[in-house]
Amino acid sequence: MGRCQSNRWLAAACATAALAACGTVPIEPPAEEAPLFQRIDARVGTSYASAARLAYVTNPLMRIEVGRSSVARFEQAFGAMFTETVSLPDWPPWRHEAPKVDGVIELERADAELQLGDDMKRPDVASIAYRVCLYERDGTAIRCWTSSAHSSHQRRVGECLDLRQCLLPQMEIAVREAIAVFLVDAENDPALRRWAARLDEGRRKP
Amino acid sequence: MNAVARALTAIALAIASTLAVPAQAQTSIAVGIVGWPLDRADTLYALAGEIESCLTARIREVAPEVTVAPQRAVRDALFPLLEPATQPQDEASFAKLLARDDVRARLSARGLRYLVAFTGGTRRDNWDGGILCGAGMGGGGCLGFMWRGEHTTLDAALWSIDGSAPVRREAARTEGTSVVPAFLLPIPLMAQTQSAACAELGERIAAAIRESAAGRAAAPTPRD
Repeated sequence: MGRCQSNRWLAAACATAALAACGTVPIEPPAEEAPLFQRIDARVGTSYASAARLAYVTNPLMRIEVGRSSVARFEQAFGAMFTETVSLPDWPPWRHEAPKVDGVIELERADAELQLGDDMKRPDVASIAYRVCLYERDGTAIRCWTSSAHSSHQRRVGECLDLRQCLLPQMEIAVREAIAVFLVDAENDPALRRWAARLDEGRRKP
Repeated sequence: MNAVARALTAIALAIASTLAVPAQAQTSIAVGIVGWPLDRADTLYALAGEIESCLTARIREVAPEVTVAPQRAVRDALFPLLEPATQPQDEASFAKLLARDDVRARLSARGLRYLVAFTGGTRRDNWDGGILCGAGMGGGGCLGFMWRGEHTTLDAALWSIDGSAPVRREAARTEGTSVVPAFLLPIPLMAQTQSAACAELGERIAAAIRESAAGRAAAPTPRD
């Protein structure tokens, strides 16, 4: 009886240790350097919907915090896009208040997925999709962008014995790529440039 | 007396070597390394990987005056322009990217004079042959023979930060066979084609960097 109980304790301790080892893991923070972008002369409010801020992917092995990392990277991206960014409070919602800015850019969604493969013929795939919208201060949509990316890797036998060593970089690569696609699309977007030109024109008028 | 002379010689050599360090630091050549073009079907090594580490180590070994900035740093500096979906599709586009003022400014701010763009990898065939294992009351063991071919192809181009075409292109190809003889126990003897190709390519790239840097140093500077 005593031995059985001690075995149970041992099993419980092992399970707890395993769960602790496979807890929530963050993605690498962004680099300090701002992304390359032809900056727009505008004062823009930034907003992050909770659907994006709290996004994560989970599987039996780990839970990856995608939302926090995405927000950090988008903060940097928005900072590179506009001459001034102002972080808008969650409450009251900016749509009700009409903030004193030229426009509002919002990260509305971040949908991440992780498909575990094997070390034979099925690759691990990390994917993410974002939806970002730019609004006039009164809430009229100027332009929305949807960008997505995935990172795929076929594990070899004996590679990635600690799966986090492969899955975390894969998720980071997907996040980076999707944000890169957004930035390149936005930089070449005629609607964004027209809006910037309109702002310039408005400033020149007496 | 001899001991005193040896000690004095050792001290003189130590002083000479410390004096030589600043001279070497002056001739240091900063190079960035980046995987390009990236294989979009497998992007795990876009930020770091075995080939990059191996090439970096080999370049440093052959040419200690060369400092190599890792590809994560290069991709960070040029973000968002070198990610798998946004990377230049061909050499002309890569040259166009390097010709951008903001790109040059970023790379120059890191002191980089060259970029090493590498690509390639290892292809492994399916295993041939077979091994049979069995066990009984008196023991167990395996008997048989398995093998498979392995081919590594690596290509690299050395780009000058202010150039519109690669300064030099290098390639290394190696082939080998992994074998697993089994007599009682299977003993895997794996081919090391990747490390061999990487060592060869790293050596050539290091030599190319040296030659190019020496050529530039020797070239007459234009007068105003």
